[in-house]
Amino acid sequence: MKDTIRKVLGNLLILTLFFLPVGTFKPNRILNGNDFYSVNIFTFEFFLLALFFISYIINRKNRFLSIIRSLFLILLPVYLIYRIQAFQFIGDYDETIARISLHISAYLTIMGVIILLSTEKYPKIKIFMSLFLVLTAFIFNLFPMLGLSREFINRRETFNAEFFRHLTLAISSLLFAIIPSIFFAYQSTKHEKLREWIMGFINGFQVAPTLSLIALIMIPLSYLGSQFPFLRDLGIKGIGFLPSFIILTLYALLPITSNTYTALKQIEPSIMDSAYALGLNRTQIMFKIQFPLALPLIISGIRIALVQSIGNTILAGLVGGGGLGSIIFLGLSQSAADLILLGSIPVVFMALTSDIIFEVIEEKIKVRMGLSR
Amino acid sequence: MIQLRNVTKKYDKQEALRGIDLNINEGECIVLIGPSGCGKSSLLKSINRMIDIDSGEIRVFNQSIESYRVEELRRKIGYCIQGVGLFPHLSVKENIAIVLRVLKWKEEDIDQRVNELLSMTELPLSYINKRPHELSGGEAQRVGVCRALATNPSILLMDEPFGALDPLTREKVQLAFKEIQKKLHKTVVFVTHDVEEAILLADRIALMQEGKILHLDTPNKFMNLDKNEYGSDFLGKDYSLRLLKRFTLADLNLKEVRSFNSLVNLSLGSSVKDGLSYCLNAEQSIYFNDNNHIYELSYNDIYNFMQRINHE
Amino acid sequence: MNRILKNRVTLIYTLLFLVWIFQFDWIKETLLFFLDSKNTIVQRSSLFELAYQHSYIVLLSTTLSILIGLSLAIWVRLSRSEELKQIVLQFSTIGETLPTAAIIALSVPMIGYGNVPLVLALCIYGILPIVRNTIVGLNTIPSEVQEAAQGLGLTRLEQLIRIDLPLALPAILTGIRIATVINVSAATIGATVGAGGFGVMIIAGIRTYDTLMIIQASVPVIVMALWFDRVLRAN
Repeated sequence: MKDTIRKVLGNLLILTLFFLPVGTFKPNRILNGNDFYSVNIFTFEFFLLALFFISYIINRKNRFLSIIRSLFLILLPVYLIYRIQAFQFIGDYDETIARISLHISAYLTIMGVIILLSTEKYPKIKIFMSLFLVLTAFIFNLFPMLGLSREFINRRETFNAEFFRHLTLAISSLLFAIIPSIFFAYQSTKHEKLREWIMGFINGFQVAPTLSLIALIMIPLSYLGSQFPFLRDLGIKGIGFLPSFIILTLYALLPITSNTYTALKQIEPSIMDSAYALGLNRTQIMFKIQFPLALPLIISGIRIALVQSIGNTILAGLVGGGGLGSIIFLGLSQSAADLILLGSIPVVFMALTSDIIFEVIEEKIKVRMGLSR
Repeated sequence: MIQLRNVTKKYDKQEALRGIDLNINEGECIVLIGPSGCGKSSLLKSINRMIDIDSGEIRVFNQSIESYRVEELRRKIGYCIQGVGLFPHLSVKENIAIVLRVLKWKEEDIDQRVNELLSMTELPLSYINKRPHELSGGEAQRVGVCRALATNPSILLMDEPFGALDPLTREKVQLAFKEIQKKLHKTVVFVTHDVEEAILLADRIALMQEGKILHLDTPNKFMNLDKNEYGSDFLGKDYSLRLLKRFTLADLNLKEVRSFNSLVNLSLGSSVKDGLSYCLNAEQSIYFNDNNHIYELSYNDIYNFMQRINHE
Repeated sequence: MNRILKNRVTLIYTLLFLVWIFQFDWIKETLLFFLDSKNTIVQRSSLFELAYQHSYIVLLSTTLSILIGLSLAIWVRLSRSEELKQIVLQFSTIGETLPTAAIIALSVPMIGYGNVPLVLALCIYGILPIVRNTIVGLNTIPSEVQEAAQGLGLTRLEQLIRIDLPLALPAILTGIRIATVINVSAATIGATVGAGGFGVMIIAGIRTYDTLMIIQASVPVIVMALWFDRVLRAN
């Protein structure tokens, strides 16, 4: 059977539904929750699950079977979450304060669904559809009892604000880093000695812990802000947007510079020779030959930098720069799991989406240039 | 020494070996030859179980190869490949001695054996600490042969070992190999697509096509293959000429003479083919000097000789 | 040891770090000349203790990552299963796109606060580059070398120990370096989940606008990261 390992693994993960807790009911934010299991919410669904498992043992290459299976998998996560948060607790509780959270077998099942979908035809589209359904249902508040939804609804405006602030910080610092990086890389190809210094310097920023760098740069910025009031009005102060922005930009330099350097270096000398022989001057060669050929790797570097930036922007939350990090750290300080989730899941989602989008762009460019099939 | 009986092997839909029967005698050098895809490499690799056959039996040292543990079998059989595959992180000495170390030989014994092997392949003893990337193609191939012979196996399998060398180096290495084989009398199974290499090295040649052995005989007898058969197409219509490289002028039992017109640059060790080449430029006999003896060579000498070996 | 001593820059880092941690008072005076410090917070842990905690967390999680990561990569190699290799590589690649801070934060609801969850999260995150680099490193061994090793009669284990792993060593070392450096950086965030380390002082310094505290903790942790990066580079 093809993809045996994936199919076995995926099915095992979904199998945990039968014996691991699937959700937690918390009467309020502070008290510990009561775990409940799938037996508490499912009835006929077990039969459907059994049929699903059996369909893998049958293993005929039946088109119809495959479509039914894919449909089942795509709908499973959103249905599962819906049923979990619809759990009826026996006892007294205040409906407006009580909340339900997902527990381990729910998460494992979703992982299993993703793995199993990867064995079907058009895996990426199907996985996207499944997660998209969950996301849409969430945003339209179809999971009202879910702790995550509660936090989301309660802080809707804050969340939106921080979400956009996060995106802005990550993307703007990246954009700011692109031109200098390409410049550094180009200069490095011309002067090898310079390269060692540039690379060493930029590498140092990557290696050093982001938090310490942000903390350190707050010092001169706050000094400037306090000594020169007009700068303060411009926004140059110790906390807020600027310290994070500066460090994020410095952080984004390495992947782009390194990739651009490699890309430029690996252009075959015969191509450069032909270009010179044809009578093109330096600038023309740079824009018509070198950079187009280097483009795929440059885009790859930008992709890496963007994904990193999105992750590092979390730290802006510690220095008043906002972003989803502030929600995460708020949740950490209050021991509120749902807040942590509310902050983390969008960040993870943003990171994965950017990665995928840029990979698609890279592929398109490679195909256009004939470097890929 | 090696017996293959009704061996078949299929890769997916492609049949690589379709019923091979072959007996290889102790001490003989048998060369498998044929175009790409004829199955010669597959046949070779099935002997030391680098490839597992689908049906049939292969016996080595009078035992089925399945009856050995596969690593033990391979340690009794030397294996040389075209890319050599020297281990880049080990010195020449460590490359050659790797199996000896696994077998926990004593350090002095290892040193002695490595030196033995290096002298046999005419490599300087100072090479023991060199790294593979410092060696030339021919030197690397020789080290590969040393490594294959480290455990003194009686059987040697060689898969186009000299294919990646330039023609000059290749000729040198071929002659060196022929010398070693004369001394050691290993049972050698050699794969090549180079007809001249086969002519030079083989005691017997097995001509293969599409998974079957078409013809198995000594190089001399191959001359008599029907001209319309596939064989003459692959071996070349000039096979008889190529065969001349196998013999030297010494084999012709030439007449010694006192008088001569002019001397050509030949010796008793030159190949008969070179001799024929010089004859083509002369009207009658040619003369050459070897060790202060003058010999006469004519077309007739060559023709008579060929008739003789044809009827052996 | 030789490599550390031979390289002057690494030596400077080592000395700076040690002096900073053990004899900060020498440096304190110079810094106080330029800055104003409040020192309003009574530090619960001395700088030395924080250094110890931080190093301990990094070394523990990295060692665990190496043990588990290498074993996993060796298991994948010995299994000869192409599918298994693809799955493990895909997991690693996706895992590495996830932000470290998010992983650490997410481990809290599951495991709790403190040093243990941090080490666990760092360990899991560190396994990814090690496994990926090891598998890729093993992949790049030329096929003739593998064929020759097989033909000589080496068992798969002997091949692995004598040929494959030594040849893949540069790649493995790169993976270890990446994991270690990321761990040093991520451990600073550990302070937000109740763990120890330099992050505690950095965050305290940020919250109270105490520049001395910020410098006091930031410099050594940066030097530590740079030190590991230098020492673990094979050239």
